[in-house]
This record gives sequence, structure tokens and C-alpha cells, in this order.
Amino acid sequence: MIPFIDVLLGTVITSFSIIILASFMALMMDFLFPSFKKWTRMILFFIILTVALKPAFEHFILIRDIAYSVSMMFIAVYPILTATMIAAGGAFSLLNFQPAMLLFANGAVVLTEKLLIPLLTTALLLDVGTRLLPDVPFTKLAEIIRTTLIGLVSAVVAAYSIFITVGGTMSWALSGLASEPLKELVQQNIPLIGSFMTESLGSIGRYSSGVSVFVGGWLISSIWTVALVPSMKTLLTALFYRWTAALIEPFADEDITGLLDDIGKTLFVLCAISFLIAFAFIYTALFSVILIKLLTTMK
Amino acid sequence: MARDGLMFILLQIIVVFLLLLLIAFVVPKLQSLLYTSIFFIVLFYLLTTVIFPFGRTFVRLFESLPNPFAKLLIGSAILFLLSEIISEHIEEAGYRSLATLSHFVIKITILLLWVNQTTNLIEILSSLITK
Repeated sequence: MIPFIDVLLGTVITSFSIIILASFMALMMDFLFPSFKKWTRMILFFIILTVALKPAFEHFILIRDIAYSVSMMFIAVYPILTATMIAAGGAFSLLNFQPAMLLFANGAVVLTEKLLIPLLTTALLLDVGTRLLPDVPFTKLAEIIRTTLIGLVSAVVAAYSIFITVGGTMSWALSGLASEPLKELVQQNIPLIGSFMTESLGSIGRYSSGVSVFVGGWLISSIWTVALVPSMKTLLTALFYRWTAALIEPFADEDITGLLDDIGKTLFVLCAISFLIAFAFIYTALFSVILIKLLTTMK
Repeated sequence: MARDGLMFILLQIIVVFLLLLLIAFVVPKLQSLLYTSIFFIVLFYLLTTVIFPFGRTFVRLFESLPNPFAKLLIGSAILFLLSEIISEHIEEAGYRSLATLSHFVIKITILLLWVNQTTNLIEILSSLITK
């Protein structure tokens, strides 16, 4: 497990130690060449942009690619699913499946790919622009974009959980008493999207615990892992940005810590979006598995 | 050892200063010419004994940073400082426009040093635009 995490986060940790070292270097340069101070700041900014934007953009591209492949998967699977559903007939009354749900999930992924990620990138670039040219600030605009996206995503997830729980076959297997303090802890400690995370995880769990009767625990847990690894990676990277900002605050410029903080915030929103995709993915994967199981055992 | 060397350099600078005062007293007509030549001799001496070794130490200190950055930063800062000193010197002699020109040219040189890095950054940014 440790090498796995190392592979996952190795590059991220490297780039953050580079940021810390670079701000030390800038400190020394400021002492030696005070007339060069303005440019030292610019160059530090520059180093941080090249080094720090890379993991952030990698995550953007990662999530975009995942969204793309998941939407392709929907397009490929949807006709087969509906056709076999009609063929299977009564078997699906077991699950109270709504075909609209699948379309809905597809719609969410297309929305992510075409609208959410470009908007988020815009917010990030607006932040960078603000820090580069403090005379032309766009902080409010970036903030509005981020809060709108969070609102949109949580609305979609709320709609999902309504769709799922309306069916009535799913019940939340974990005892509420045991998970409540844990939920509270997550909500308190992850800024912006903590409560959203616990809620969406809860509704995914509610769905898959109902389904586990058909599918089996190990398959569910592997689907969960596959779907949630990108989100978890994004979340950890976002937390790293915030930690780095906190670490270098005493000796670095206000601008640089602010920029790192902003990138962190944007990545939190990206993490929320990737939860949406994970949600859609889990739904489709589980559904296909159930379908295959039903079709093979019905005979 | 290093501290002794630095004290010795300080002493040398004081000797040069005294020499300059003496020149101003003995041959006032040749003062600016002699000042300039002595200044450049001292400048190159200090460059080879203090500034360049320090630059190397600095680069070694920040070796773990991505390769060109530490070198580029210290290099461009030293270049900027030198250009500032030289153009100030020219300005003191009364050739202000020449001073501005030399400083400007050095600035362009420094920017050219950074072209590769700028290209990288712009490529990262434009990879988002072209889809």
C-alpha cells in the first residue's frame, strides 16, 4: 500500500518541496540583490507557476479524460442495456430501475466534460491573472464560478440520491450511529466540500449496499476503489497545496501563498466534480454487472 | 580561512581607495581615466575571487531544484547587478544615454536567458486552450 501511495503522490510531494526551496532561494536573493527584488518575486512566481500548475493541470486533464471515457462507455452500453432490459422483462422490477436514471448519469458526465472543467480552468486562470497583475483583480469572478459549480454539482448529486432512494430497494446498511462521528470529522476538516463528500459517499453507499445482495462484496469494493482513486488523489493534492501555503507563509510573499491557496480551492471543486463522475461510473458499472448476473442466472 | 580572505579583500579595497585619492591629488586631469581603469581591474578581481565562487556555492546549494532555475536566477541577478554598476559608472562620467542603452541591452540579454522556461510555461498554458 505504501509504494502505491508513493507512486500516487511522489511527484506532488517533489513539486511542493521545490516550492518551499524556491522561496528560501528568493529570500536569499532579496538579501543579496535588493535592486533585483521585483524580478526575484516575478521569477519565484514563475518557478511556482511552472512547478505548481503542473500537478493541478494534470488533475484537470485526468478528470477530463475520465469524464470522456465514462461518457463513451455510457454511449456504448446504453442501447445494449435498454435492449436487454426489455428482453429480460420482469427481472428488473426487482431493482425498481428507472431507465431515465442512466440517461441522467450520462447527462451529468457530458455536463462535466463540456462545461464544468472548462469553467474550473477559467477560474484557476483568473486567479493566476489576479496574482500576476494585482491591479486588475478577478477574485470575485473566480469565487462566483467556484461556488456556482459547487452548487450545480451538489444539486445533481441530490437529484441522484432522490432517484435512487425513490426505488425503495436500497437501504443504508452501515449503522448510522457508528458512521455519524466520522462524518462529522470529515465535514469539519475538509474545507468547502467536506459535507458534500460525506453526503455523496453516503448515497453511493446506500445504493451499493442494496445491490450487494446481487453482486457480492468484493466486486462492489473493487468498483468503489476504481471509481474513487482519482477523486482521492485530487483531494490529497488539494490538501497538499493548502499545507504548502501554510508552511511557506512566514517567509514567502502574500501573493504566492494566496495563489497556492486558490489552486487548492479550485482543486477541491474539481474533486467534487470527480465525485459526480465516480457516482455515475459506479452506477453504470454496478448496473451492468447486475444485468449480466440476472441474464446468466435467469435461464 | 574564508573570513581572512574577505578581510584581505576589504584591505585591498581601502588601498585602492587611498590610491584613487592620491591620483586625484597628483594628476587631476587624468583622474577619470585612471579611476575607470582601476575600477575595472578591481571589479574583475572581485568577480573572480568573490562573486563567481559565491555563485557556484549558491548553485550547489540549490542543486535539487529543477536544473536551470537556480543557475538562471543567480546568473541573471549578477548580470543585472554588474550592468547596473557599469551603467552607473558611465553615468558618473557624464554619458547618461550610453548608460541607459547598456543597461537596456543587458536587460534584453537576461530576458533571452529565460526564453526556454517561458516557452515551457506558455506550452503548459496553451495545452489547455487547444483541445
